[in-house]
Amino acid sequence: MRKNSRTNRIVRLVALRIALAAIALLVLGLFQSLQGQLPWLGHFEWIEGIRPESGLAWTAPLSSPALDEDGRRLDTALLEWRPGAVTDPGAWLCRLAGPGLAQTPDAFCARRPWRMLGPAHQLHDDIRRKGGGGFSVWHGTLYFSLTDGVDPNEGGRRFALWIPWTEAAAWAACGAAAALLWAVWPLACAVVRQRPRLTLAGLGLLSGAAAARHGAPFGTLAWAGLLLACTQLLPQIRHVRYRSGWVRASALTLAGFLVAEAGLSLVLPDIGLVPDLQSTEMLKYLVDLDTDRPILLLVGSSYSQYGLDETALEAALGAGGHPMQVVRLGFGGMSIPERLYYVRRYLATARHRPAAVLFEVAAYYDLQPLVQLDQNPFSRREIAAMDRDNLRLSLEWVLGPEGAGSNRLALTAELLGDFALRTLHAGFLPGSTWRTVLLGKDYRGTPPKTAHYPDAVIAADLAAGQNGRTLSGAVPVPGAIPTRWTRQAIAEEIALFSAAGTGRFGFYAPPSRYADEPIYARQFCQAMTAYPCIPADDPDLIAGLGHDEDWLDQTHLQGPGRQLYTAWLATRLAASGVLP
Amino acid sequence: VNFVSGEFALFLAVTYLAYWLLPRGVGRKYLLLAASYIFYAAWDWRYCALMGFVTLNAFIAGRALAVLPDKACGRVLWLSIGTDLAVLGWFKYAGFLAANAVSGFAVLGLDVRVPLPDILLPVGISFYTFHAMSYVIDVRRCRVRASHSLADVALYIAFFPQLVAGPILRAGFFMPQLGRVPPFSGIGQSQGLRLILKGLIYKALIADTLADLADPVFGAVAQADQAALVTATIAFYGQIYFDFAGYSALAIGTARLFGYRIPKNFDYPYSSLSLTEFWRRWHMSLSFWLRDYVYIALGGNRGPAWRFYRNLMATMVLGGLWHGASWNFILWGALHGLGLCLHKLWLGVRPRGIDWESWAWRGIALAATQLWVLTAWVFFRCTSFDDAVTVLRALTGLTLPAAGFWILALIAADHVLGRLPPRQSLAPSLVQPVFWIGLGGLAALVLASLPLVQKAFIYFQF
Repeated sequence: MRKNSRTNRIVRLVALRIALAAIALLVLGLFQSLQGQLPWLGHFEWIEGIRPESGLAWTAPLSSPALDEDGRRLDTALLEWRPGAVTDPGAWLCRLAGPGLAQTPDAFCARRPWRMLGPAHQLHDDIRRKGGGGFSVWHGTLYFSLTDGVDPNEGGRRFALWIPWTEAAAWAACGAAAALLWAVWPLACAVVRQRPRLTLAGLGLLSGAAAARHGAPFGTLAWAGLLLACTQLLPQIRHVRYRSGWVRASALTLAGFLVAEAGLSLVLPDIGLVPDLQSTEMLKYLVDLDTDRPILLLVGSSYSQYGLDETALEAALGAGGHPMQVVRLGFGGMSIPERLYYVRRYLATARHRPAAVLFEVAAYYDLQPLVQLDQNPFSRREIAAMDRDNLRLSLEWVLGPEGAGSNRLALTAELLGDFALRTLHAGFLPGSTWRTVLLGKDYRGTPPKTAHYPDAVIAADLAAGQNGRTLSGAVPVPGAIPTRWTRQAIAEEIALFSAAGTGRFGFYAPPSRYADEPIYARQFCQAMTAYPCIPADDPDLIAGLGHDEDWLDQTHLQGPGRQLYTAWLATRLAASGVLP
Repeated sequence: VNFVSGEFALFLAVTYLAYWLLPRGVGRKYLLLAASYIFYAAWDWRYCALMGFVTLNAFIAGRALAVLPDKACGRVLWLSIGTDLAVLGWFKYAGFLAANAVSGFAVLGLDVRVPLPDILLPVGISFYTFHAMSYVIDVRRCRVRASHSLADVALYIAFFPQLVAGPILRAGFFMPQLGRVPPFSGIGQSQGLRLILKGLIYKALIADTLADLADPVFGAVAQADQAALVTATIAFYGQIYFDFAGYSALAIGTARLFGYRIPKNFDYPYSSLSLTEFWRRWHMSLSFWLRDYVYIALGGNRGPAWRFYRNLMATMVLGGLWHGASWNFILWGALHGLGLCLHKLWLGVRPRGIDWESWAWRGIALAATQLWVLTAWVFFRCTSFDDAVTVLRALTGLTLPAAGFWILALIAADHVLGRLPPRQSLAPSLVQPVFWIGLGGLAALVLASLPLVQKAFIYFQF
């Protein structure tokens, strides 16, 4: 009886394995009949040694012997990999699925950094004359063209040819796969039965790693799956001694928390994750900047971002005998503590240090240094920049004599909260990205103009700024300008740059229609005499900014006004002695 | 107040410390009651009065049922339930009924003006009115004694962990817990914290990520291609589970921290092999409530077959309507009702002599059930019938984009892992250190993984 049941079991097992292999072959056969070729069975060959042929055509040798089109037209596909994709040639599933899937509207694959070129099998003469991405594989050589007509060896692009296997090779591979399945099935079953958690963990890690390569949402999901598994695998407590246990439990939990936090602090800076913020993109641009000209660094905010054209400034300075690379550290809403944070980061890793630094003077930030904190409580930007130095400086201001009177408590709580959130890495992972995929941008240019003003209003605003002597008191004005706090922040910045070898400093104040700005700038320049200070108080300049098209809004320049101020600043800079 | 927020963390920490520092006694209950009303007032303090009214109605009805002769009890019961239903109907369904009345008259060619009330839907009204009804019905059915304490009834209805999105507590389950002072239990704390951690991962990491995949597509269905629609549907299939199960885990875990038990609301529903099983695993507190107070009250499975199917359909349609005053919820409920009827029919007619428990049939049953559930979610999620048809047409393409595959893999991993028996291979002396250290470590990792800006829980709108 027992022998019979054992025989039956073996028969069932064998039948099951045969059925599995048959199903696998059936599925592959279906694909063969529906698509004319087996899916997935192919490989990539990277295209190296690209040379110009004639006209729009380029050629490259191919190493695969299967590429001669003697009597057979292989359904090859030429893929263009955009810069940044070299470290991510994975797109694992998309690769497995082959270029056929990459052409589908599946957003998942379409997001990959590749692009199909084509059509294939073009006449060589057409490739030379028409271009447009057409290509041909002919006797071990690839003839191809590009859609943009740019040299394929430039811009960090790479090309790969997807080569389907011959039918015999594909079927052999299928047979091998079926045989493998046959062989490992009982073993896999035994492992799953004996070690279900190990199997699940292995499968989970593999799947998670594969899924994570499909972009941020799937990386998050894979990570969440891992955390969920860990939570599930925590042992269950069955006995706790009343009262005596909770102190120990709290201590152990705290220890675990602190160890994990310490681990995060050690690991995160090294694995290349950075906050996915405009400021980080700007920092990357500055750090990676490679130039043979001396760098003029503008440190400021949106006043500089919108009010100055760096390219025009470079050209004007070059024409005046000062060839310099002008870059900006600063953008809309960048408070002084925040910019100090990025100055530190920049100087720590920059490829080239600046030869001269110009600091923007702005009453808006100097008189209310934590205004951004107040307006955007617990914003990712403020949290990302709230390190120990930033906290110290900010607290010194909040708790000092010139600090905000009414909301000191709220600001202190927020400063401490931001610092705690940053220290505990709260929300770091979902708000971060790999530094390698981060775009290095300096955000040049101005946004589209949305507000319009009559020229008379503009003239009145500018006149108020030119003629005014005292600040309006819209914000509490401290006893001295610049404030003790602003002096300290600037002194720290100058010390940092000086330590990095920069010896030339100056101040500039872009024009603004808020009367307090030019009034503040004049008082600032009168007080800060150690370095050249350039307020925008030239009547000729102001007279040239009297039209609506010169102003983006009440605060920022645009268009002709921007160009006018840039040219004016270039002449003043050349005369100031700041430039090397 | 969103459960996944700094404000709630602060509120919970203060309430927790104050609760356990108070000497044992009624003070703790009053503290929880006050905290619950503060919690509710943080959304809109004016509606605390409405919740108070519903509570008072339940309390008075309960006392009346305890002292009045049996003959009068029926009237008291219906008066109390009618009041609750009137509150629910006015705040939740008045606008819907008025709009449909106007449309109905227009179809008949009559230009009848019905004033459309502009009423703000009070958060959690579906839940606390159901609590109130449950209390009165359970008192009437002698499953719980009518409480002498208004505070107990108020706390049962307003207990903040389950106030705004359930699970729907049964009076018979929760009221007895209020009669004793819950002791501080290390096991309870460990269970509560584990559930909170799990809830955070479910909600903030998984559900919100899936929402990022689903929401843009469902926001512009006409512009999306087939693969995007399929992916978004699968993403929503996962999102709603992780969102609501995450909320439930947070609610149950929070209640455990205070020593109270709230029944399980989800039991890995996407592993169900039939719709009947699905409704025993999905939003269990609602489905059991509907079963006990609606389906059985309608006659259940007694009587002729047509009545049984009618009861089933009516219960599920009402369940759909409970989710919101909208036809898509009604359609969603009707689809589930139809599925349940078909399943019951199938059980009656399926051939005998076949091993329906074999893995192959179980696999087919799983696929069929989940496909039905997924299809029904399309009606739940889409804001118009046309959108739903577009999405269903995309689903019939029978393609599974890679993104959809990975989402299903994650759901499968959650269901398989979650149903594994707890690990017991550690030496007893290591269990506690491993648990507490692991909990602390995981808390740090989850904190680092939480987005700073949270999306609202889906079930808050019901």
